[in-house]
Amino acid sequence: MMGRWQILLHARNFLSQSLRSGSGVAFIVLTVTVGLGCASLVFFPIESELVTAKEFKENAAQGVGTFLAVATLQPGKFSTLSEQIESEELVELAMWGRYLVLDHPVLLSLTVMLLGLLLPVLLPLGSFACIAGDVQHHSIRYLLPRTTRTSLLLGRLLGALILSWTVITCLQGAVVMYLGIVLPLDGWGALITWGFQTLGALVALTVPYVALGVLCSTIFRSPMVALMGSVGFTLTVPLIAFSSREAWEPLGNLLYLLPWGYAHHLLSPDGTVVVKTALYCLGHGLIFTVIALLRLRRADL
Amino acid sequence: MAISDRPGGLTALAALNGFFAISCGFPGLQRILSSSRLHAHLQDPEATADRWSNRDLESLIAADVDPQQMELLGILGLVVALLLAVSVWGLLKRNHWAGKWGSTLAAVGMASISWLAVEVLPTDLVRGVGMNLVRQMFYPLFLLIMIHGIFRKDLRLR
Amino acid sequence: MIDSPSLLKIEQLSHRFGDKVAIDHVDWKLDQCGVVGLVGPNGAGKTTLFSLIAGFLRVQGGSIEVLGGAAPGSRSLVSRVAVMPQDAIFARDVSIVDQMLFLRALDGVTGTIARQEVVAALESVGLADQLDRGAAVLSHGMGKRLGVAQAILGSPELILLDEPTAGLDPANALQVRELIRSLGKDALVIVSSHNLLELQDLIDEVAVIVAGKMVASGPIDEVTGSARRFELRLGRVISPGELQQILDEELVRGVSQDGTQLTVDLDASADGGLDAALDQLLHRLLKLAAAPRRLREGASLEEAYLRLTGESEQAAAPLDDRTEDDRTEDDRTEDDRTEDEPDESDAPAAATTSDDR
Repeated sequence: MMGRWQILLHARNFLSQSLRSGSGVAFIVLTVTVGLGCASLVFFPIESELVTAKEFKENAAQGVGTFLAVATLQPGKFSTLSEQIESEELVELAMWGRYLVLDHPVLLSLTVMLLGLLLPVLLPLGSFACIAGDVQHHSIRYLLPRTTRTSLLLGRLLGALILSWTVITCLQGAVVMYLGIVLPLDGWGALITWGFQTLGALVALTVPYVALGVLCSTIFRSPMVALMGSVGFTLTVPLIAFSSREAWEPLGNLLYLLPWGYAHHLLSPDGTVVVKTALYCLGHGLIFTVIALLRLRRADL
Repeated sequence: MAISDRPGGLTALAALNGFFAISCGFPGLQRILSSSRLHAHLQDPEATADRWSNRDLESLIAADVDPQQMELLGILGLVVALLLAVSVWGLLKRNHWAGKWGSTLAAVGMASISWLAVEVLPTDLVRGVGMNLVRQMFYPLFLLIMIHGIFRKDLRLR
Repeated sequence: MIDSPSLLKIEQLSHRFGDKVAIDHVDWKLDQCGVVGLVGPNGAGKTTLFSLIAGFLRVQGGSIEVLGGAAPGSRSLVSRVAVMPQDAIFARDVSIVDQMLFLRALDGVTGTIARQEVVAALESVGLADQLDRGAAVLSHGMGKRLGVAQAILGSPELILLDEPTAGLDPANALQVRELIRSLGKDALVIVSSHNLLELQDLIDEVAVIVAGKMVASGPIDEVTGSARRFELRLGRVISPGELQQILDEELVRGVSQDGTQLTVDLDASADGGLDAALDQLLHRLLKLAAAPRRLREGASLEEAYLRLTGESEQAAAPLDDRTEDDRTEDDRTEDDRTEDEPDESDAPAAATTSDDR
C-alpha cells in the first residue's frame, strides 16, 4: 500500500519538477510544435480544397501524392479512393471531409503515422533525466532512505508516461479542434471517435519508447548521455536493420528490438490487430522496465 | 549565492510568451494594413484595382469581409502582443499582476482572436500551418494551465 | 543513552572502486544510541562507509546489519534511516518547504502535521525564514543546514551526517551541534567531520578510519588514551627557559607557545590521573608567576587522530613547533570551499565548542 502511495508521489513529483525546471515545458512545446508542423503538412492540401473549388485540381495533386504515398505503404486498400479521385467525385467539398474522417481516414492516419515516426525520437526528451538527473547531482541520496528503488523507478516511469500522454493528448486535441472548426464536417461525433482511436494508438506506442528513455536513464549517470543513448538507439535500430538485411535477410528482424517493426498495425482497420499490437507495445515497455529495474536495484548511486 | 530562485519553467514560459508576442503582433499589424487597403478599395475600387490586386485582397473582397471587423482583429492582435510582452517582464520578475494576469489575459486574447478570425475571415487566411496551429489551439490552454496550476505559488501576490 | 542491541553491525566489510580499495575488511559494532564520530584523512573511506551503510552503494564483501539485522537499503529500513550526504544538492526549481513536504509525504505523513514538522525542522537549523525560497538561492552553508533538517524529519533511528557543520557560521554550527546532541538521546547518530575539536565535545564514541581500514573505534576516552591536551592563555609571554621548565615536569608530554597562548599535552595515565597532571602544570605556572587567565580542554582527539593516522610523527615533535595554520588545516580547507559565499563564513569551531573552565 505504501509502495503504491510512493509510486504516485514520485510520479507527481516528477511531473511537477520537470515542468517547473523548464525541461517539461520545452518537451511539451517542442513535441507539440513539431507534431502540429507535421500535421499541417497533411492538412495543407485539404485546407486548400476548402478555399475554393477553382483551385482544387492544382492542390489535389498534393493530396493525390499523399494518397499515393499511403497507398504505397498499404497497397491494395485504396483502389476505390483512386477511382474516386480520377472520377472527380471529390470535387464535392463536404465529401472530402466525410471521406477523410468517416469513411477512409487514411490521410489523417498518415498524420498519426508521421507523429508515430517522430514521437519515438521526441519522447526520450521527456524521460531521459528521470533517474540520471538525480544520480548526477546525488539528490537521489535524499530520496533513497525514504523510498525503495523500485517505487522510485516505477513512479518516475509513471510520471514520464503521464507527461508524454498529456503531450499527445494536447497534440491530438489541437488537431481534432482544428479539423472540427476549419473542415466542414457533418458533425463532431465521428471526428472525436477518430481522435480517440488514434490517441489510443499513440498512447500505446508511447509506452515502449518512454520505458526505453527510463532504461537509458538508469544505465547512464549523465542525463545528456542518457538522451543521446536513447535517441541513438531508436534511430540506429531501423538504420542497421534496413541496411543489413540486404546482406542477410534475418538481420531485418533487428527492427523488432523496438516497435518499429509492428507499430503501423496500430492503425489497422481490424480491431483485433490493433489490440494485439497495443499489447505488443505494452510488452515491449514491460521488458524495458524490468531491465531498468534490475539495473537500478544493482546500481551504486 | 545564486542570482535568482526563479524556476527554469517560468523563464521558459517567458521566452515562449516573447516568441508568441512576435507571432501575434506581426499578423495583427498585417491585418490593420489589409483592412485599410480593403477600406480604400471599397471606397474607390477603380483607383486601387491595379495597385492591390493580390490574392489576399481578392479573397477578402470575395468573402465580403467588413474592413472594420478586420481592423478590430488587427488591433486585438496588437493588444495581445503587448500583453504577452508585458507578461514576459512579469514572469521574469515573478510579478503577480503582470505575470499572472498579463499571461491570463493574453491567453484568452490569443484564443479569442483565433475564434474570431475563423468567424470573420476567409478560410484561406486563417488556416493553420505549423506554429499557427500551436498558437491558435494549444498554447493559450497550456499557458493557462501552467500559470494557474504549476506556477500558482510563484506568482502569488506578495 | 538508551540500550538497543546491534543498531549497526559491520563485519569484514570491503569495497573497491576499480583497482582502488576504498574499504578494507572493516568491523564495527554499535549497540547504543548516542553520537558517534567517524574521522579519518581525506579519501580514507568515510563517505564510502556512509554510503554503504545507507544503501547507496551495494555491499561487495562482508556484511552490514542495520537496526537489528536489516540489510542496507532494504524495505524495512525505509524512513528509519536518515542521511545527510556530503555532496548532494536539492532541486533548484522547487521551494525548500515543498521539497521537505515531499520527503515527509514519502514517510506517509501529509497535511498540517507534515507542515508543522517541516517548519519545526527548518526552525531548528535556522532556515524558517527561507521556507518559500528555491534551493537555488541557498548558500553552501544554508544547503548544509537544509540537509541536516531533512535528516531529522520524522523519527529516524539511525542518522548519518557527513560533515554537517562544514561551511557553517559559528552560531549555526553551534545550533546544529546542539541539535545533534539532542538527537543522540533517542537515535544512533554517526557524524563524520574533520573538525576534531568540535567532535570531541559532541561524541560519545569515535571510529578512526585510515586508507579504508578502521584503525580504532570505541568510547572517546579509550581512543584518545591518557593524552589530554589543554590550552591556556597566560597573563604574559613566557621565555624559552620557562617553557623548558614546564616541559621538564614529569606529567607534561609536550608544550607549544604562541604569544600568551600555551598548548600543553598532559599524561593522565599516572596515579592521580588528569587531576595530578593539571595540578603539576598549574603549580609550575604559579611558581613562574604566569597564572593562567583562561584554561580549556583542547583537542585530545586530534593528538590521538594524528597518532593513529600516522601523521603524528610529522606533527608531534613539533607539537612545540606547530603553528595555528597546521592545526586548522581542515578548517582552512572548508574556508577555501566557502570563501565565495558572502553571507556564510566558516569559522574554526574552537571558538564556540569548548567551554571555558
